[in-house]
Amino acid sequence: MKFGLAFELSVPRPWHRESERTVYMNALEQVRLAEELGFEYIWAVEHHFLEEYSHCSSPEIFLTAAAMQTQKIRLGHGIVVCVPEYASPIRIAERTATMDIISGGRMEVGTGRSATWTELGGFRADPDLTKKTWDEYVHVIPKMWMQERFSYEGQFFSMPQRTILPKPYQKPHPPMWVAVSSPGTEIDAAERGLGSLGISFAPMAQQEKVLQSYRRIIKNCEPVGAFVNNTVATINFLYCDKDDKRALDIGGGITSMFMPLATQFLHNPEALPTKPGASQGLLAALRARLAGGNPREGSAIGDPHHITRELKKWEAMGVDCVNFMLNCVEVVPQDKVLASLRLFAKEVMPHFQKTPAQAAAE
Amino acid sequence: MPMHRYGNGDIKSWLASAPVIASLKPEPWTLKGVRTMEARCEVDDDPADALVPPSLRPAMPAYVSIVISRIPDSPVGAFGLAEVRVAARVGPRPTYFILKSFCDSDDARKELASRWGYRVAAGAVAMREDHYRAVGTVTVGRKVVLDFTLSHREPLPGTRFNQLATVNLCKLDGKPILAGLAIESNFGANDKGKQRITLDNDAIGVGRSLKLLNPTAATVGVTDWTMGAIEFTVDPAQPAEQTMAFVT
Repeated sequence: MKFGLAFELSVPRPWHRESERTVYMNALEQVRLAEELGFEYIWAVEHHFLEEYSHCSSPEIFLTAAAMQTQKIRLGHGIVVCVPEYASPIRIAERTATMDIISGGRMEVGTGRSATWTELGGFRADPDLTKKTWDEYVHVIPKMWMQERFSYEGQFFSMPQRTILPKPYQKPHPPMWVAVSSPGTEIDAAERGLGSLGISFAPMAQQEKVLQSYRRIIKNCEPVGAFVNNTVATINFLYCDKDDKRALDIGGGITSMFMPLATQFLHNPEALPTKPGASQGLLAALRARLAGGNPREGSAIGDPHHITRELKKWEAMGVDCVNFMLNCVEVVPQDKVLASLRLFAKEVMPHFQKTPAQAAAE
Repeated sequence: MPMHRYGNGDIKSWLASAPVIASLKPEPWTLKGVRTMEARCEVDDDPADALVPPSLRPAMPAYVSIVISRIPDSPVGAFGLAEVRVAARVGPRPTYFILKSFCDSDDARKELASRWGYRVAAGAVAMREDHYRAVGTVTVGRKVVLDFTLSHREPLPGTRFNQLATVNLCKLDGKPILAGLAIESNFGANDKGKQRITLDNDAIGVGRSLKLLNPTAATVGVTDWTMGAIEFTVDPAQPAEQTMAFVT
């Protein structure tokens, strides 16, 4: 199993001139250390208007900065919003290709459509249409990357023949993913041959069902790109300390800040009665999780023994990658975040490394 | 430790009109065939914060929900009910805090207040439906204090409308509480449309600076309601996370 970091870049109030810069610089320091420790991916969200929760509205710039400070770690849009009011698919194809060139072929392109009225309403985008626009985008973007000249007449996007430049460094193109939080999106992902980028904190049993459905359907998929990305990633919070109780005390601060912040925004079903709005997203999963069950099930907050045991469950389920969120509104001091990463790499990661024989077989 | 944003509403002034409830376990009412129109509309954050009790966190962006209902039958007969509510969070849960409600039946007003803590004033609640629109009004004396028109009706097939729970400010055993109500609803038919609303801020008691700005949803439909027991209570003056108690 591989590991990555997921960045929301949350900034606590009261805000002052250095607030956002501190969060960004801390995150880049975490990226550099993650590469040194053997993490495989970093992912940056695209969120708008989500005060304190996420100040990462231009992930392409954060990821470019990360690319310039690293050599190996893969850089993921987790995700880029595929809605016309946010960006044309031309701009997404151009931007991601440029980042792929600059990073030496390390881009991963996660796609999605935004789950909150707070964001979509801010752009005056219609949530009823975002599933359709996302679908059209994921079909045209790989063609923009691969075809020398491209033209298209579609429902939400059209263009005359032009040469979209530059082309990605990875050939035929970077791996593509879709954010999976709403039930049913795993089917969309599988049918299109896209990686399943889990961003939900739903209970393990629920995620296992999603994974099984994904694996079953992707066998017969019709990929939107030149190849199938049959990869399942999930998300988790990470705080690792030698003392389990201390880990819970300190790391528990991340979840206790994250949950109220995340649930303060208007997710689509609260604002809209229509069918796409009725889908269950991240916030519904969070609320369900808070309502009951074992909060430590599958969690990566604890001592190395606890974290190893829980991650083994994810591995047994068939998850290929776990992406960790390390902080929320800087509730954990940076030195502790870095120490947690180092301890995780030293005492947990070796339990998930391939044997030389496995690596050779791969 | 970073702090979350809470409302800054003046509970003391609201408590003057807060009803007294007799119990946290009122006998439920099942109300069949209720015709309901609802509008949700964004409002500015600052005036909205002053409408949310200090125990609750405002939604981001802030919005209000306006509901006009005609109940064809109940244990106290037919009545009309109109509610003006502000969106909030009680812990992680989305909810509405009822700012003001109106009802046109003395008996229903009495029951709504004493069972579920509705701060409910007398007012004529009218609702008329045409194929192309629905119109709801609340009239107090001769003055129309709420006028809600839903136009451009369009059916929503197979959709279950997301009806949120509400919290009411009331008193129990001499102590102020926020009572969280679970209203089960089952829609039989539902249309969406465009909203046009005129609100008399003074009559509603929401302050003159509150302006309806950015409509999100407007619906009209038929539903069966079950107004059940009170699900939880919260001290209105303390963060809900610290005092939320579920009624068992």
